[in-house]
Amino acid sequence: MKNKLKRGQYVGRIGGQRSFGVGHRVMTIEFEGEAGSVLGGAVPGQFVQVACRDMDISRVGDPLLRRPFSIAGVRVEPGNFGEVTCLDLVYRVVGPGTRWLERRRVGDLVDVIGPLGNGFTLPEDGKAILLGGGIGFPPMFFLADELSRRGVQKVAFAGTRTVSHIEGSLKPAAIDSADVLEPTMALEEFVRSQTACVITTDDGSCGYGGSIVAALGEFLVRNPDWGDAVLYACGPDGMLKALAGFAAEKGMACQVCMEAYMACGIGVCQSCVVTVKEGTAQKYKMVCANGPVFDAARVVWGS
Amino acid sequence: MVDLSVCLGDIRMANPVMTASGTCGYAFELNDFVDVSALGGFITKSITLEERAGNPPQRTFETAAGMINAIGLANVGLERFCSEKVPLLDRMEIPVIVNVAGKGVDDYVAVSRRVAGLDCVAGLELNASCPNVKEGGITFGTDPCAISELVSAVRKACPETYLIVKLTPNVTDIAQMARAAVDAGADCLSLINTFVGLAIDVETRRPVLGNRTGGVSGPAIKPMAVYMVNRVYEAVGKPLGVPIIALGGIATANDALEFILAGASAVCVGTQMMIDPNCAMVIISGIEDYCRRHEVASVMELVGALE
Ligand SMILES: Cc1cc2nc3c(=O)[nH]c(=O)nc-3n(C[C@H](O)[C@H](O)[C@H](O)COP(=O)(O)OP(=O)(O)OC[C@H]3O[C@@H](n4cnc5c(N)ncnc54)[C@H](O)[C@@H]3O)c2cc1C
Ligand SMILES: Cc1cc2nc3c(=O)[nH]c(=O)nc-3n(C[C@H](O)[C@H](O)[C@H](O)COP(=O)(O)O)c2cc1C
Ligand code: FES
Repeated sequence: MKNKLKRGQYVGRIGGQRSFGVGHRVMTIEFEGEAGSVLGGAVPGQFVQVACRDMDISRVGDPLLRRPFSIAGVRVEPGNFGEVTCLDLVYRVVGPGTRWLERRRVGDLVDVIGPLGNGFTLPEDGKAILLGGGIGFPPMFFLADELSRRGVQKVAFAGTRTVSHIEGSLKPAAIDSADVLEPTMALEEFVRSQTACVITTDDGSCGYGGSIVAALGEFLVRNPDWGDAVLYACGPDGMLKALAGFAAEKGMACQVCMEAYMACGIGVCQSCVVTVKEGTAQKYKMVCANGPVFDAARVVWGS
Repeated sequence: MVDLSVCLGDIRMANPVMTASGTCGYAFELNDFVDVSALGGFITKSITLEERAGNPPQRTFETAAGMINAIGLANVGLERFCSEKVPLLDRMEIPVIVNVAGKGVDDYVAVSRRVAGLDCVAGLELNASCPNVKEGGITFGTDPCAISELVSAVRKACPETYLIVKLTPNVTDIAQMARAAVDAGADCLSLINTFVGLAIDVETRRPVLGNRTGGVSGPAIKPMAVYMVNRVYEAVGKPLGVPIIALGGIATANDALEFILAGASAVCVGTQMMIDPNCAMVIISGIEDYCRRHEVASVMELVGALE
């Protein structure tokens, strides 16, 4: 799964977008031909670098750098002129790049480089617990699809600050559930892979009120048979750090999908480094080329 | 037929467009996106005597029409460069220039001597201009005596090697530095490296970059870079017959043409290659179109053709 996966620079067409929640969007970009087959080969954990501006102009504008987004799902569908690969992104509108994406309409073109980085190491059997916090859900949706194809038993935790951030994808099951720690078909993007999910919110507006790691802890006390599962996580550094600590304490394997400020996204500029343990040494590793997935036990977490 | 080829001394390039140091890796890293062998030449990331881990993150940040970086010359170091990267560069069909950096003159000399002897290397570019490391780099580039000492020492160690000196814009008069470099034995000048800058996170009241300061690149610096290239061309390049490799904010064919008209014999694309690797091809064909439109037989006719 390491490196040498094919990648390229391609132009895709917006297939559609909708609200995922307040300030959060789900977008589908369609690719045909070579672009479709290369991006169709993406694996969970990989990301794309999206040019969030019109590239077909003689003068370069802002935002200058591409923006990295995790791949939230890939589907191949029949189109009018052969197969179409549909790439899903889920993003939070935070600045000029994501505002530009928000304004795209069906049929608009976007320039994308990918797929980039190394995906999660996937199990053939056993159990998996998927944890997405903040805007860390996207790779978890894709991972759930793949685990479902492999028949791996899985359960997900989706943590958000407040329920409105995910209300566009929330299913009635989440609200109707009497027991907040009982996984249900709560989130649209997890339903397609039949992944039951526990919702956690910082403000208690839906599901479990409190941190995603605390929810996981309580869940494992109730369901000790999940204690040998592998943890897969993506989210803010604070959450990943807390989870890494939890995993170490419980002796659970944990893979984290990390973020860092990027320029190239393709391993040439050395911008996106995080500190990782290698034996007794500590080394800078590039999130874009050596990650974005790392073994949580090897990451040296910041303060 | 338009002749796009240019010469830097004995180095003949099929076209004037090259990669800028630090933005295109060590060899073929960009080959998934662009056929690097279709460029005029390749300039590597800066190589230092010892491997360097680089500066603490955050290392880059986007600014208006540009970016600020403080990578800190993170590179594999001379030994690993020779064992891991040179075998790749041996397969490169276009002229390869190795960019050399160091803490002191001895470092530059040691790296230059070793690298100059390699078959795959057409020339050296001395980075006398990195703003992001404490010692070395820019300290050479801002003092005419220091640059002179550096270039003389490398010239002496590598008498036959094509020597390019990369200049910093962070000086009062870049022509003075250019003159010092040429007098000390430089065959060619490349300019500009990045402008020193500071980006502040107003919420935390702290610098955005781990290194506090960084170097600004991208379209934002282009007009200043064009001016400096023209200044160096008029004061040093033209009278002394020293070619100039120009860079700073190039993203389109017109950007490249501005630099050529200002006096550059070749250009490098840096920041834009990280955003749109294919831009090199668009720039090359744009220069060709321009020549056809203006009935210019050879791109060399345009060098310094600013009225
Ligand atoms: C590997 C990876 C995967 C990501 N996946 C997702 C995702 O699936 N969904 C999602 O909503 N967001 C994701 N992000 C974050 C996303 O890239 C930023 O939110 C986006 O770049 C913001 O751009 P902007 O112009 O809208 O906002 P800006 O105003 O430019 O930035 C807002 C904040 O976003 C972050 N950011 C900005 N530029 C970059 C950059 N070049 N590289 C990294 N971070 C940056 C910074 O922390 C900044 O403070 C991911 C980031 C990485 C590194
Ligand atoms: C991420 C990054 C890394 C760089 N690394 C180097 C380097 O190692 N050596 C060097 O001489 N210049 C380095 N530079 C400077 C560029 O080669 C170039 O001089 C500068 O960026 C201006 O050109 P541009 O606007 O086209 O990027 C670097 C620039 C960037 C953006
Ligand atoms: S973003 Fe350039 S190396 Fe990772």
